[in-house]
Amino acid sequence: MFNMQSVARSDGRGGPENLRHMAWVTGGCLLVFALPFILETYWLYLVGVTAVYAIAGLGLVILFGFTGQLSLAHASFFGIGAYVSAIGGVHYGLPGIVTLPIAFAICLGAGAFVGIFALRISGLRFALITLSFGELFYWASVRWSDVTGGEQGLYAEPLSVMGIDFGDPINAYFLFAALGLLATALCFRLRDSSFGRAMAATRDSELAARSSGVSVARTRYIAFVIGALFSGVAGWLFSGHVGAISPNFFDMFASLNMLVAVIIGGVKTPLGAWVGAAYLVFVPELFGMAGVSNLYPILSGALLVLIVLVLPVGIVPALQQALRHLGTSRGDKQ
Amino acid sequence: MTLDTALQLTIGGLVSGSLYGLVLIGILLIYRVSRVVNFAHGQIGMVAAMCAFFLVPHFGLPIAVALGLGLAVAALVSYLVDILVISRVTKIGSGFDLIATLGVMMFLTAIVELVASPKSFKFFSLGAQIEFTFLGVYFNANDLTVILTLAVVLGLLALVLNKTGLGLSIRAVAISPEIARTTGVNVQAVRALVWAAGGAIAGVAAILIASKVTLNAFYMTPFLVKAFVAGIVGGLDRFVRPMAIAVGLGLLESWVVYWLGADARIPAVFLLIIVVLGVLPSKYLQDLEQRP
Repeated sequence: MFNMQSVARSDGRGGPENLRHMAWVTGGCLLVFALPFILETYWLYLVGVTAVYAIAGLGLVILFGFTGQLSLAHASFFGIGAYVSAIGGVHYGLPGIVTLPIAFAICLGAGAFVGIFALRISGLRFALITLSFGELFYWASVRWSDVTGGEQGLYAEPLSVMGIDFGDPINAYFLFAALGLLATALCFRLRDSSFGRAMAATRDSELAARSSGVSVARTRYIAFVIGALFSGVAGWLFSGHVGAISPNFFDMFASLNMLVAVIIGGVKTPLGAWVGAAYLVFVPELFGMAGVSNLYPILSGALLVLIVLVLPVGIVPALQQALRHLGTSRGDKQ
Repeated sequence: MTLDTALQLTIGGLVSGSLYGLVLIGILLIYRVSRVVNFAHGQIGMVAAMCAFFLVPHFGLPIAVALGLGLAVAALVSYLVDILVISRVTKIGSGFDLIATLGVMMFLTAIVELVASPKSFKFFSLGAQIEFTFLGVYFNANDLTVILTLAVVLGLLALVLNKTGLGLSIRAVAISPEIARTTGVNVQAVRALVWAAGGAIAGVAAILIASKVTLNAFYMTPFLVKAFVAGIVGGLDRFVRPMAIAVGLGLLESWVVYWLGADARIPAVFLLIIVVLGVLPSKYLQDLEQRP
């Protein structure tokens, strides 16, 4: 006990740091509860979509940001979750909540299978493996049209649990905000756990990881499966929230877009997934409102290049650094 | 199945395989010298085809002149991509090059879509109407041009790389830019030249491909994907193996489409990749040199 205190004291920042975290969490909660009173229904719906993409993005943060594995099948796992929900509803009349464990199990199985390749292959060749599975998934979702609706896709019933209709954007908003925050907290916990350090070691130096007893292959494998599960659950939410799905949401370009989003936000921090998701959802919307939606793709490409050149760590870490800088310079003056 | 059919399928496969190979050459060349995986390669080539296509009606240029100008523009764009983006990005750290070229790819696609409107066009036929039969096999001049172009580009490249002082400099930069610099090689000039040449070769590939498909901002994507498949499976730091895989992919597709129908093309190619990468002994998966 004595030691703990002395550690906290010798750190010198333990107290204020904790207070600051509390302030952030409180502020975040207030914002979550305030938004429904500020925003119109449509924007609330978009916040819900953002939360869904953020959950998928968190999977990429774990996979790419923490572990350093490039995956081009992330949107395919998203698609598995979405299709299980929609197919369950349309063809079998299953209520949404029943399809969640099914989607979870299928994504677990698919992630566990594709992940096997991560045991012996890494880098670009592994990215190619994921691309191949992604292409096969897209092909199947177009060809197997009796079940998937082909290129037209499927309509999905909004989620309804115990009489609460999540087709209502306000209900959906609270559900997605809660799940999004839960996923974010999980992601933070994972980063700070011993497995999180194993992932970081695997990413930064395989040799160093091996020599300190970390199983690189096992770490990669588990990270891949976790990433697939995040994406699958997000896809399951997406289908009920958006109401209609088609293969285009889950092709190679969708995977690339998810990757681009988390890179813009900051791939090594869970908050980066939120900024990235907000970028994916709101920026095209704003361009559309300004009547220049055809300029969005140009901006997207240019912004990606610019971010890599100017803020290679992404927006969130750059902001955090700026804030910290501001804080210390203010402290110096005092 | 008759011998004629078999020959016909083989020729068809060779033609598409050669197109994959033409796209791949520039990727390998650029990777050699700057260790960058260039996702924008296909779209740089597309710029050449688009330029040529719009120069002809707007300025009344002969097709050959327009094609030449298109190639020059592609060389310039490729050079600019290196100077403005890639050479700065590689200083930041590894891995960022991939993302930056991805950004360039999206940017070029969006620009062309905006300028050319998102319509599809019919490109110049480039000899596709000149047809003849030889030994019972049907040929057209366009197909022959494709195979010949690959042979000529490969021959020229082998000649320049192995027999000239410039080639020696390029190979030196590929092995180690730092050591090459100390021996008096102008590394920047060599890099610029290789990127420009890579862009022009991408243009040649894209123009030939455009004469076979409908022209729009995305027509290069499947060809770029196949070229990368061959490059990544074969090893981006090698030459013969990835080129052979590129041509092999074309042959495979041609035979699969004949036996199982056009629907089977995508699963056949990607299942094969998964199986090959899954079972190949790891000594074939090692790269020639693992640079830090």
